[in-house]
Amino acid sequence: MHIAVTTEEARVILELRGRFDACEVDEVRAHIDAALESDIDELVFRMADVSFIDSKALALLVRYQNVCRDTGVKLTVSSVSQALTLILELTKLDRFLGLTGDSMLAEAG
Amino acid sequence: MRRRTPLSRLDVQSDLRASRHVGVWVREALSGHLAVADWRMRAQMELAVHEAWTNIVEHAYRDLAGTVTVTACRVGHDVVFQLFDTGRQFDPRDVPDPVPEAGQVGGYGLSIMRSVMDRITYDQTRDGNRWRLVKSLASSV
Repeated sequence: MHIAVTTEEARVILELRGRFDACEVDEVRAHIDAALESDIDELVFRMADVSFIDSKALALLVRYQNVCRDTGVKLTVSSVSQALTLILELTKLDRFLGLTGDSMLAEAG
Repeated sequence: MRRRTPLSRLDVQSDLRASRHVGVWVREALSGHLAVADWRMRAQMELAVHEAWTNIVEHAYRDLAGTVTVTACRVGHDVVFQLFDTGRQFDPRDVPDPVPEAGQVGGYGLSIMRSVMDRITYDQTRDGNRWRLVKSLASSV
């Protein structure tokens, strides 16, 4: 998987590409932890090019949504792939992760 | 009696990194059995087999080395995936459905498998443990 990190003032954007599964969780977690160590207001995941995502990767996002809510950081998923849309529909986690059905339909592709 | 046609078999070590091979194997096993445009059904089955595989590696073979055998066969309009291991036993009935609105972190794998497949069974055989995942292709063929 390819991870690109962009910092814009108090916002960190993590753009993930490729396969995001249990094998990749530790690497993504390290990037998230590094971002949260700085004084940020928002953590954004761009996942339009994630080709596969499993329950372990999804659990990581849920874990950090909980952390961010506790620490006053806004976590958002700004774009999604078909693979992510599929698993969010199945698990009904779209709302918890800050995605609406409209945005998923508009951005999936 | 519905006609049963073996499709493919994979024997692979219980290493999470091997999941990539499992995904490729599922797609190849389904080749020619799904409408080309039916990416959703193909993705659902790949995800379900991947989740069963991950469950075996992380639970049945936790701190153990072992082999997972995965088979696919066609029975009438159904595709049947079976995963065999000789690790620890696992009772899916012990795993409740997650509560997503509460931010529950774990427990989604089995829920996903239940959602995307038409039938899931797990049993202990004389030789080990067996997951059976069944999906009807009736809407795709």
